Amino acid sequence: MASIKRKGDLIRLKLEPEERMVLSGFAREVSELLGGLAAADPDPLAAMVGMGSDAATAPPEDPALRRLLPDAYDDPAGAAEFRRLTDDELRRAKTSALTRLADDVDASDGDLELDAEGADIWVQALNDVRLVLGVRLDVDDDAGTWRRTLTPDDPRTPLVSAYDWLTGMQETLLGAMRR
Amino acid sequence: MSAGAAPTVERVEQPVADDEVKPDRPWVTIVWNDPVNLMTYVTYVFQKLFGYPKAKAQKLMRQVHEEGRAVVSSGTREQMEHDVARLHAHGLWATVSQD
Repeated sequence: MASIKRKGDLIRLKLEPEERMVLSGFAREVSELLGGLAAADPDPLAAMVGMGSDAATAPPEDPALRRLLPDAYDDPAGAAEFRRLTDDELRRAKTSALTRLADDVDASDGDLELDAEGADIWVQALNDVRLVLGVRLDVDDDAGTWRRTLTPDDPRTPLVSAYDWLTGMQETLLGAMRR
Repeated sequence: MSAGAAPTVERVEQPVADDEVKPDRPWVTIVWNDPVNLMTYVTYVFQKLFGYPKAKAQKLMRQVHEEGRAVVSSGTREQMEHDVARLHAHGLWATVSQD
């Protein structure tokens, strides 16, 4: 099981090989869902004039993506305009955090050190991975009744342990970040 | 801009519709409850983004959790859009509305 300890200004993590695979794998998957490298490295000219090549106005069809990129207004016109102005940069910020986490994990042999900025990026990336898994698993209340509706032969059942592990990981990391 | 930083909103200059001129009604940022975000994480985000002391951040977090929503900031429409963009970057479900 992963160990997370505070050492001065740094947070030290020890991750098992399987845990590294889960972390980096899910982080890259969610990054891909957000548009991957295309989102992280936009057309420079389009970025300069403040618009993506295909600036989105409609909410994403995929409910998990819609949770990562929610409407900012109840009113559809307001939501569309806000999305047109912010969608590219929001995807880019999320992709960049997820990629940073995955790169950190893949570059390590299981022993990692995070400074305050790194831990802040990690905790956000972990949250986005959990949000996506939460939608996939229909996590729909605080009492956990969704767990009882998942049968053992449900193809999503293996995701439950990943979700729980990521939850524990995020909680422990937040605890270590607190001064 | 460093990784994980919040998007900024650049609003294109446009004519203001009559119904938007309501100076006596400030704009607010509302955070909505969701079943995935950890209570410790929501508190952390409120402290980080708004500079709220821990007690205030926890109170707002509890209000979101128990009442389903909480107003976490108020001000001009532009400020609220900036706050919502930063909350979305942190994975919180937030909307702008007029009080």
